Amino acid sequence: MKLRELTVLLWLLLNLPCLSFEVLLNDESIRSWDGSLLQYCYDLPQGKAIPLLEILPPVVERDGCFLETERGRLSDVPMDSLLVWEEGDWFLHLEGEGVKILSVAVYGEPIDNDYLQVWLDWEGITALKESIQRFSSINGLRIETREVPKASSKLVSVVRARGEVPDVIMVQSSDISRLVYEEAIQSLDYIPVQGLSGLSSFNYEGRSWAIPFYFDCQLVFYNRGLVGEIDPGWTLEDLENLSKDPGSGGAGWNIYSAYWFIPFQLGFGKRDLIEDGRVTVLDGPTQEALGYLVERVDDGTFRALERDPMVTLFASGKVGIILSGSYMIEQFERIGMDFGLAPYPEPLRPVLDYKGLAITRKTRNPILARRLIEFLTSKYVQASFCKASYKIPSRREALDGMELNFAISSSLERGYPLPADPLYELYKDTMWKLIRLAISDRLGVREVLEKGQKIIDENSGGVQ
Amino acid sequence: MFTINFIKFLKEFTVVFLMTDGGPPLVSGFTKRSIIGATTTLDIFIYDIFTGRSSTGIASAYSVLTLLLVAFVMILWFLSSRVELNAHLLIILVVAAQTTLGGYTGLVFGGLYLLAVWKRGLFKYILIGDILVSLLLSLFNGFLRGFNAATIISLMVFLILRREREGAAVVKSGDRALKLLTGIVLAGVLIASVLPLLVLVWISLSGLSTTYIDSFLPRYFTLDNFVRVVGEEGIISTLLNTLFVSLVTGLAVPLLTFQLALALRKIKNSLSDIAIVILNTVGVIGGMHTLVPLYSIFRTMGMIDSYFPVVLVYISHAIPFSVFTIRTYLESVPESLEDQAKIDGVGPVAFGFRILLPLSRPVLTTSFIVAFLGAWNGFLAPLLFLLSDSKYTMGVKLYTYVGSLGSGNPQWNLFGAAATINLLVMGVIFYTFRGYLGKTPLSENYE
Amino acid sequence: MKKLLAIMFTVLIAIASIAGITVTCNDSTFVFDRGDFPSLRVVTRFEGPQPSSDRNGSDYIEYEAIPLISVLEYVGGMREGDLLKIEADDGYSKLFPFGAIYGRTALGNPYIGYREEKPYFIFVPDDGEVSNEDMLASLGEEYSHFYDGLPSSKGLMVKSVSTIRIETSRTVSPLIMETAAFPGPSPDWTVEIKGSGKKEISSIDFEADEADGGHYVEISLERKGETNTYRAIPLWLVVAAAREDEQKRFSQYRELWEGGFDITLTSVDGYSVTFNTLDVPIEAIFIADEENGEKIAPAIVGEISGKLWVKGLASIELDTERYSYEDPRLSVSLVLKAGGLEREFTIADLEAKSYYVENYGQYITSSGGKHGGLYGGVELVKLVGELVELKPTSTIRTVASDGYETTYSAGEIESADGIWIVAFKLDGDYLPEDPGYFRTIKVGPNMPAIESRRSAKMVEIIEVIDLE
Repeated sequence: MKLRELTVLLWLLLNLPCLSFEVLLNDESIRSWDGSLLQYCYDLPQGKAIPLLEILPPVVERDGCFLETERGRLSDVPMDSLLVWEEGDWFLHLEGEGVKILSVAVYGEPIDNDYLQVWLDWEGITALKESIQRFSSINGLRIETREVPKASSKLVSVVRARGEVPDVIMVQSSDISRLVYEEAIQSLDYIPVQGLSGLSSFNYEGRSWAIPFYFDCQLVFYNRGLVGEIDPGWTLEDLENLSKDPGSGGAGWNIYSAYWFIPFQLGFGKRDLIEDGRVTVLDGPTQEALGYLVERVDDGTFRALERDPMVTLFASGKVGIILSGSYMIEQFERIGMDFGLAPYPEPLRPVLDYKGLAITRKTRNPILARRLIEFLTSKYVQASFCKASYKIPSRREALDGMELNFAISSSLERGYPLPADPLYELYKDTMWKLIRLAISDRLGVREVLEKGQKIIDENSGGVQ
Repeated sequence: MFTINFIKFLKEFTVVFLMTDGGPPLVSGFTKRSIIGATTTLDIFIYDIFTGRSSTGIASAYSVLTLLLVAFVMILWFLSSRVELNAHLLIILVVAAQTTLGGYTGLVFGGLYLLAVWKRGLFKYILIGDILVSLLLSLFNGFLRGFNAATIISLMVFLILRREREGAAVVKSGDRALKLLTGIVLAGVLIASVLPLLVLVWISLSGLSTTYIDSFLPRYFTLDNFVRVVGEEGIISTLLNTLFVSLVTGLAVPLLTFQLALALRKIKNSLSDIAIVILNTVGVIGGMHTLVPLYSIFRTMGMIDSYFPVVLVYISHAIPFSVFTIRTYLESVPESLEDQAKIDGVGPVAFGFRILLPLSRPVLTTSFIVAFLGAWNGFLAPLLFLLSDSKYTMGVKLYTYVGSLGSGNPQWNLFGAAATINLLVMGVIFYTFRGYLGKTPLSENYE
Repeated sequence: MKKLLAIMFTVLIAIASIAGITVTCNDSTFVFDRGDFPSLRVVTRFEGPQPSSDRNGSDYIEYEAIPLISVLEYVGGMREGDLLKIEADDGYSKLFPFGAIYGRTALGNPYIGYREEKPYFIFVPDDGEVSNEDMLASLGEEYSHFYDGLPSSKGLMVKSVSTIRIETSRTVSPLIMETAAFPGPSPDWTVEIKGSGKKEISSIDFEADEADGGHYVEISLERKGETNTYRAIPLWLVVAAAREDEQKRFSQYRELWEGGFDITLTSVDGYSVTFNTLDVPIEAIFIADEENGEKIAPAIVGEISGKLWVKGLASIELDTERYSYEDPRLSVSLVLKAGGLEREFTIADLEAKSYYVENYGQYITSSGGKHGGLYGGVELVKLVGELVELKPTSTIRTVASDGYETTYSAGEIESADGIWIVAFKLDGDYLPEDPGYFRTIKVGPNMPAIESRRSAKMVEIIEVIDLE
């Protein structure tokens, strides 16, 4: 007898605090949240919390959203207001005060299809799958995520073969022109993008084709033991001096690569890689930049190292300063290295490599796809995803909550997002060969750039 | 064998591309539209042109030329093994090649080779001279300008002629020298095969993702990569998927091609040769562009995201080689055996299945292994036809770690771990069946 | 005898009302039934001889209505000077002038409205009531209806319509839904239609359709608690107009639609959504260019999911793979040559003829095998009779698609034990391509038999030869 009573009591005790709040859609209760919402919460300074936006059911168009609280009905509550779990209940934090929530009512046409298919590529896929799973679980949706290598290439093949396309696909700027040409994705001008950086990376022919999601940026990594601390406001000359210092281990990176050459071009005065629909390599800044690097390699100031030797030598303390991407932070942390991060020295501008989310043209569920993207680019989701995957969020607000290294945040400001123009690929493929020939002293700087310009011009005609 | 390999590596694209992306550029490599690198093979060149997005007409033209070249080489080889060898004809061919392709040096050597028509013994020496001159010119003028393409044709003809004279006293005197040469070559080959394996194991044990080896053991030695690959990445299920696909392919190919080989054996020589040439030439055409219409067909049949199209593609890739091998083997079966069977009252069909089939077990096993291994490493077909990442095979999985070189952040250590496991499994399979390769009941060494 | 006739008469009437309404104009006739056209809900009311407050007019009644003008187009439509006669199956009939039907008078638009499965001829004016004033203003005394000397618009409504006849003095060649090119003013907007080739529809086409009074209709839709009225054309019609080949009837488009294919709608701002026609009823989705009286950029509206409400429509893309499936039988035609004239009939034409019959026939092969069944086709004599009258000396020659010719004398055709028909149906199914869509055969209740060589198959041309 006693045991049974105890069990009932226990059950009551457990459930009592779970007097939850209800979520209503068009006056119909669709969900009630109690402690079960905790599993989706973020650990924030206020405690276990979740922004209001994330628990609202996705609708075609939100006609109204009202919160019934202890203090009465609230409307026009900011979407990123937090619901905080306090003493077994949910409190809405508004203007520093917490008020207990009784229900959340949303009005709008429900989305009639709860299925989405998402294709993911590159890194951070596990963390991304988790974020998407959150959205799916909270709203009772069926979202299928697939890791698809060469996703944009596969999408083109599927579109051509009239197959079933996914609804959302992860893309990088170099994919855009091809996907647009094949009519595989739809333009997203209708999705508001305030607060996101990197929009230019997905702009093509005057329209926006993907929403920037995260980016990697180029940074300077240095061995604290060899180099000491670097002043974030340093210049190119400082880099030279540091590198010449025998105790520092010197500076080396993949000087041959066009990707690592761009910051120098921009630093020496070039405004944009592609100007007036044309790629110019015969201009002053490019010649100066190339000449500068050739000299520095010749006199031994900088070492031209391919990626793998660069990483190995840096990790083994034989090279003190390298130029690499933010994606390497995880690697070096994993092996327990004592390294520091510095932004690119003035006047160099680091390249920002964005990945974005695009919606296919033949999707059957564009509105839910858009809701998913809005979810993924919201402040807290961005912060949590990027923290887990060592990526940098495109939502500027999310940076605040991340305690990002100053090197990264200043890189964001001076950084150069890669353009979506197909000419960029042409430039990259040609440039590395030119740099190599110049640095190996087989040809002079001017000569090599002249020949390169001819090839670029010749091939530009075919680029659409 | 030479021809087959020549063709195979002429088409070799993936390895070279992934490894070197065309290689460091050559000064002599500036053409109007691109810069040819030290390892820019024809396929990479075509790929470069194609992605340079100039009109696809040019890329197609090059592809057709490649096709013709392959067909030409095959026909040449088959002619050589069938036709009563007309050495004169072959030498004339060499002369023609030299004068058209060889430029100024070609004209000179063309004349010299003409002399060989009368005195065959001279051919060897003229060839040596040809090769030397080519090398010298390459050194001075850069590889592309100096090299004489016709030299290759001359070399090939030389090998063909030499084969003809096999058995004749050619190298009796240089026996020991030959043995030494063979030894050196073999050692080189061995090192070249083992070295990549060592590198692979090295990178799989490194905590840092890199392929730059500067120490005996990786500085950040760890077994973590293997743990990750098996645990988080589920490499075991990928291996099982790959095993399934490869098994089905491996079993299907010999089953399907045996009858064809049997039939071809009966047909007159030249016709069956033509059949094989066609099979092989058509096999050259395959690639990404043929997969798109295939996708359309399979989609209509509702077979996307199943293994059926993948296996079908692999089987079709393996058929030419299998038919060729089995037929060649069957041809070595002496006629007398068949006659004897006839006397014993065994009809042709029964002869094929009750006598030839068991006899062919070794070559069928070879066919199985080749098809199996080809399917094991496939990449494009599963990438396109499979949708669920739980169904991916090893080829696709390995790619996800590395991407193309330009992605900036390949995970070499995970790749190494996965690839090592992959190789181990493949190695075990190969080891189990090693006995069957190259042995036949009709050879002298068969037990 | 009389009883039998009465029964037959009733049966005929019953058949007539089930079989559909006959629409004719001179020689063009077709029988249509409800399923052939899209319908909308309308409400209307007619005033009686006494003012409406006396309530001897009709109440407001709801109908599932088909715009009459669409129906008339199938026989060529009306022109200035023509009259329209609406006949009921009890003999009641009303005559209307061209202006009342096409002129958008106070009477509004004419419809065939269905209520309790019966077809009614009605008018639906803008204010929802056909008053006597409206009637007099629109029809004048000549065509208005009077009951006991008092004007009664109730008489304009015809119950149980059986025949609709255009009375005209001109010769009509049947035109079906002209989609003419409209030169002249440049359109305010255009929507691209991709799929089977590329076509465009523009604001000019909408204006033209409005003038024709065809399918440009007004619909009221409720969304988010608000009711808005739109002027719109059904999406299926726009899609149909984009096709290069011969026009089909609505029932055939419905079949295609319900077969299921994908349509992708794209807006000018890039928003793009794909749906399958199986998920959206054909009558539910429209393209509107006017909302609450104001012109708007073309938008997709209807009783459809919110994601399909595409504003600023830029293009419509059809998944041609499945959409372009064509039943070849629909484009096959039979050529009749007689008296120097030539006429082509499709299977649909023939099936609509009043002299389409179904009866039993058979042919016997030389080996004694019998082939027969219930054949459906048109009487040969009556078919020929559309062009010439068969003389005793006439010969009918059929030419098959492989060139084979069969000749019949007039005497053979007009035999007693059966009727010769050009059959295209057997036991309820259309004749297959092999051995041929058309076959000549003799039919009758006693299943008359003929030699197989007298039954011409794969018939393509029928010629009447008079030897003078």
